[in-house]
Amino acid sequence: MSKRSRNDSTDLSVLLGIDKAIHEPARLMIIAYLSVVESADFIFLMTQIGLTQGNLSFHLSKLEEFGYVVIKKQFIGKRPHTMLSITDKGRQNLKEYLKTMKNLIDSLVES
Amino acid sequence: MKLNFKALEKRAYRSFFKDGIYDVFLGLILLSFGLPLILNEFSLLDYVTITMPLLVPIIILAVALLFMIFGKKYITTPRLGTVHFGKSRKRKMMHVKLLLVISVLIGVITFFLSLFKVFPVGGATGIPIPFLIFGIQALLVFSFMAYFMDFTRLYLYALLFAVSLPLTFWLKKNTSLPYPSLLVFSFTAGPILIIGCIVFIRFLTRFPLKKELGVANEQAK
Repeated sequence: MSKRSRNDSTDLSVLLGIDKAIHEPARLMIIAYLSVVESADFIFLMTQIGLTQGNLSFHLSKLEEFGYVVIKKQFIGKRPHTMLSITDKGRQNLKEYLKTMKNLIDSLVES
Repeated sequence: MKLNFKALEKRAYRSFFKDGIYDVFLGLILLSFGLPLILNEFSLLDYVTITMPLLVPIIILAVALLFMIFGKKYITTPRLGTVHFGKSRKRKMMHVKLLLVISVLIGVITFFLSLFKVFPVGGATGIPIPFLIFGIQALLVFSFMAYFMDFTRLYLYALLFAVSLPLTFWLKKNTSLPYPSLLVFSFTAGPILIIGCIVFIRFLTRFPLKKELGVANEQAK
């Protein structure tokens, strides 16, 4: 981005740089929670975020597709158990997303 | 947009105090200290032998411990799920463990010193030195634990633990109240147990165990 376009208040191309995978509110909540813990299971996220099972499953699959979240299947005793954790890429992109959003909001000028 | 990650982590960690299990556990522990004294006031416990005054707290402590272990495993975890917290939280928990070890050591040393009658008995206040040490130690240890664990109710419990035994002996020495132990422990262990039960019942109604939750963890994707 040139110096001129950076200072141009009518240049909205910065909006295109927003990470759409994280921008969705449910996914932002998921990734925010996973960024503050080492790992968590499905029930923990469901109770903390308040999403339905189907909704959470859908968004987790999306985040896994983007490589932001790792879904690990393990066994506790004889029962299968799913643990979720954020990847380095996810953590980095969350940081960048927050920075972009902050800059964007800070640069907003009320008409 | 306000997204405070530190507060989010704290909120996630504190959600595990919503079950009231620690409250009931602490309430039972305090009750285990007071029950032998209360039973003695009603002449239901013979202090001639050491067995019964020791047996009563041990039974209550065992019940409290079993309630906490099985409660967390079979009541809390299926409802709130499992989470492993990050390095900063693990460091805080190490501080809590260290505090508990120091606390137990002080307790054991005080107990043995009192067996050898190192401490003067009562004094002007009527409060035996070991119980005074217990009070100060409970206040400090529980307050620091409350700080490291972000468990706000524990500050109140620290105070209630701290006053329980010293106040009982002070009332015995300086007043003519009929049942000082019953009175003191009703106002110390009682509130902790009541708060614990209310929080526990509220938790059970707020987070009913749904069959699909168990399946959810298995079919997370």
